[in-house]
Amino acid sequence: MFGWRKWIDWVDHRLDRRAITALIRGFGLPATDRRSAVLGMLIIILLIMQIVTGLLLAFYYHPAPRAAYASTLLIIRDTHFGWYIHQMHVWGSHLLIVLFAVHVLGLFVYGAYRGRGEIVWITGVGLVLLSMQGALTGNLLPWDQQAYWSTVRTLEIIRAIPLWGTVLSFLVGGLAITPALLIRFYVVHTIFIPFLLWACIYLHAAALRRLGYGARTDTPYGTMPALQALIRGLLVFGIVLTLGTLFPTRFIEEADPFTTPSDIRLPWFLWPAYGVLETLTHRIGGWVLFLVLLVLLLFPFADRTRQPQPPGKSVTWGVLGAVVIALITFGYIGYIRGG
Amino acid sequence: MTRNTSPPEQIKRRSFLQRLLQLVMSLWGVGIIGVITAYLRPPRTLPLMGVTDFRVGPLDQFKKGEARFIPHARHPFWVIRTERDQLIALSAVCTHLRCILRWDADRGELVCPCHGGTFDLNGNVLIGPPPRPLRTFETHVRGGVIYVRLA
Repeated sequence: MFGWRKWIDWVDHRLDRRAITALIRGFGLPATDRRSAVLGMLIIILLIMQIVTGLLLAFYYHPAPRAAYASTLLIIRDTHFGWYIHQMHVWGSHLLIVLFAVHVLGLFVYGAYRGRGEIVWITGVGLVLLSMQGALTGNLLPWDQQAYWSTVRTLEIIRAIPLWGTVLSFLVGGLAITPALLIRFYVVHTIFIPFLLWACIYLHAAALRRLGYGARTDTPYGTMPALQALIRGLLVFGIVLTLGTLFPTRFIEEADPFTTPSDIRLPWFLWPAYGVLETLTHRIGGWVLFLVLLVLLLFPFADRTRQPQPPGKSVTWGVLGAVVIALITFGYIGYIRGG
Repeated sequence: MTRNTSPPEQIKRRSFLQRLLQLVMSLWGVGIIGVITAYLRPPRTLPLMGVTDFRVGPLDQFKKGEARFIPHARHPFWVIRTERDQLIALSAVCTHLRCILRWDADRGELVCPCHGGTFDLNGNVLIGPPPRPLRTFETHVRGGVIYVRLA
């Protein structure tokens, strides 16, 4: 076909092709069944889309207070397809958080955290938290009123969580919104988080592999997986484009530290946390959130099962039900309290 | 396709599907490359970031006969207030080899230090190798402040 074979052989004689495919396979999430394979592929496709769109945005973006706004305006208004690329990046980030969260729920349902699955679990939860941090740091970058004031409110929440707030404020150089914070957010957003995300995915896949998942990935890649990837890629592409076209995020006037608009909302994934803080006061709620994070990260260490196996039906549905009800309840409280 | 030993019509369908897949993928790829190329082509407003009027300074601090060099990153230029109280803004970049011109106050001309190209206040070439006249910019005074329109 188009003489591909000749070119592949040419490269193969100079560079072992198998070494590269092995590297790619190492990155691939081991597919134990169809559902996790589909989800894993969607996540990888979405991540690649985020990298490509983010890279394109970086061609015009300036991480300095006034220039940030002007350059975002330039991307949205003056370049061809710039607003499309911007919206794809924003909606892609929301979708990524959802997919990672669904993936972690899947890990729980399948019991992948049990029987030496601690690293699988921690990297899985880490991916959710990282994708949220990516959305939070990216949120400030356009430097409009929405970006500025929702970040002010987000930092209030982060400050309320013991330890996390301290560590984060050290990393970003204080929790006041200054030019220094903007550039740190930019660096964290464009360099640290992508790097940590891929590292987490690699560790996650390697740990799953160590536990014996994905034994069937040694079959050669043929046309069918490529076709499936193409179809899924088009699907994700279409969903993100549709969301970005129908519900574009607002881009309003330039950030003004002396005028607070009345209709600023937090990112949706912080509504449950905000609901907890609003119901239990910031002091107690902060500790509750801290403990929730701690339990979420470390509970596999308390599990004594030797083999990765699904937990009992009643445990699964009990925990899932409790988590979903808590998220919806506190999310709703957070939303109506102006989250 | 010689390595396949299945019946001929089977080969046809498989190769047809493969070609179809390649066509779809190529079209998609071409579309994406087109979008990215269109996006990366710098918009005309890029160097100015939406600001077209460059603020030079208050008119009353600008004496008659004075010339001031403005080191603008993209369009460095000279602003000259003539003895007849005329404001002129001329590109400071020689059209020959892009050297930065100097103001010769005695002759009232812009002179290139590289090859001696000389321009008058209308930007026309008087002496030397420059192939084209200098670019001129529109000037205007608002609220006692001189602005130069760079777009």
